[in-house]
Amino acid sequence: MNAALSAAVWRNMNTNSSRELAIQISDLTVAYEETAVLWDIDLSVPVGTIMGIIGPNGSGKTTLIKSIMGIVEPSAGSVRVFGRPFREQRLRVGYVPQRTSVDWDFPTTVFDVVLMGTYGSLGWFRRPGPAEREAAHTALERVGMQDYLKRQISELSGGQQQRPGDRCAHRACNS
Amino acid sequence: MSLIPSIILIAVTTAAACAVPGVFLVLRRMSMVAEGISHAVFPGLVLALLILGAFRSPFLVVGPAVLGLFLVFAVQAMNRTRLFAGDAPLGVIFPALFSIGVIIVSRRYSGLPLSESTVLTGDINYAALTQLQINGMAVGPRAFYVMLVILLVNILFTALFFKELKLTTFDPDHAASVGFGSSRLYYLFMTTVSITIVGAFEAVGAVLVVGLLVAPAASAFLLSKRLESMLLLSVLFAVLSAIIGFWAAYYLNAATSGAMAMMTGIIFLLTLAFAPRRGLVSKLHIRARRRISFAEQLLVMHLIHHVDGERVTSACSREGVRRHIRWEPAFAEKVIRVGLEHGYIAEVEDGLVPTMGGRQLCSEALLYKDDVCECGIVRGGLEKHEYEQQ
Repeated sequence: MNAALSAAVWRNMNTNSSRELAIQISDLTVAYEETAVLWDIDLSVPVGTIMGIIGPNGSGKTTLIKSIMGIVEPSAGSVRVFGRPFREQRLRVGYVPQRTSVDWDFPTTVFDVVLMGTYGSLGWFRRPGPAEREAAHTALERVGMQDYLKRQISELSGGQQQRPGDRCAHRACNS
Repeated sequence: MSLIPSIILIAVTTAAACAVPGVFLVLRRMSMVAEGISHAVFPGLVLALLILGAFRSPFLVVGPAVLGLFLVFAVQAMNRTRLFAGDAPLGVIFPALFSIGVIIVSRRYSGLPLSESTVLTGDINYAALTQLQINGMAVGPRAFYVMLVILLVNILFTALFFKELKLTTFDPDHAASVGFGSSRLYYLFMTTVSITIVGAFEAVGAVLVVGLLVAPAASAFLLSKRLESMLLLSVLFAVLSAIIGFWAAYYLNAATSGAMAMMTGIIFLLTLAFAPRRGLVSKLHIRARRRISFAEQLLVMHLIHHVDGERVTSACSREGVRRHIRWEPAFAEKVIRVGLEHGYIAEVEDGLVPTMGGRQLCSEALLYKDDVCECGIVRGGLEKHEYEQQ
């Protein structure tokens, strides 16, 4: 790993060492306009790990996440999620962005946001049906937000604003 | 069909057709891109006329639509070079494209009915005169049918791709991560925008079409909690602007397109002023209420701190309160009155005291509730009170 960017393995839930790798990054180099942000990164994250990535501003944390997600193309190296390329595993990965990148004035309710988590599994054209709505209701109940269904998202407090995003990502994984 | 219904039909369908994609333009902060497209398509229109030679061919939209896409593509490419900030690329490219059209027109078409002013502001009355003939019967203005088709296409497009449009507009990163990231949808959307703009040229022209695209959607935005309502309201405001604008122009003997665009502006201003929650009046009201409410808490807090202390008379009398907190006399009177009404403070012979209700209010207002003991005194205050460790 780069000196400036270090991965701290925060908690292992499974002591078995020979377990499946959730994320395997090999020789990853990512550059913007031929200026490298990440040089030759190798990283293996076993299943069941909670990992925090720490680094100063500009050290490449977001770039690393984005290259796992396929939002940024690497100049070199590869990223494997559960052994396959990310695009084959989209529905097994949930992504919750920083709060500031969400448009809080967008005309959408709490329920809508969570329902959007099911869009990935629906694919193009199909509409969310009763099953998806049911799933969204369940997800909201799990974080205790079921009373805020119809609130437009800017009407929530800060801590509340994080939860539908989490739920959305969770929905995306579990559909 | 006679003139007035013809004009109204054209106006209404044009406004509605613009209102639908306008919603997504506003939400994506691309209103000025629409302005750019409306100008950039002009050379496409002129070139299409040169090639097709006829004014009334349906393929006339192809040229402008291509130019519209070209503009969007070129602006994105320029943005990617990171040489410019903001919308400089847009401001560079669309006038250049527009001027190419102007030059071609001035050279080749002088004398023909393609004036820059018509392109810019449209000529809805003229458009209303050109009627579609079926079996020798004039069944309505051709422009109406064209815009009706465009309106239906926009509605169908929005309905078909509703969730994709919603997601890619709301959270592009997440959309990309679940597979809706290709720019195909984006370019398809911009194609519908370009075609809508070109269709609207006849009625309202290049400059005012932006008003129809943006203003109704912006007004709807202020009133909507959901995307579905924003779309419906946007169309409603657009249609209202068209109808009222037409009648205003009729009675004032003014340009219909201008009146329509002006109505969209007036509706927007009214919404901006009076929208619940987001409107200016509402916000002023909320701020005023909050100011009083905060001042009330401040007053009770002040009394709690001083009521058992040494300077009780100076700090807790009506006059003392005003002086200590440094309020204007009138405002101080108002806050005291409100506090008495709500029962957070009480008046005794020496001055004011906080009530239990008032202490409750303050303990709820404090961030760190552990710091407040049962009586509502903040820890670290006076030794008189004994409080338990939490």
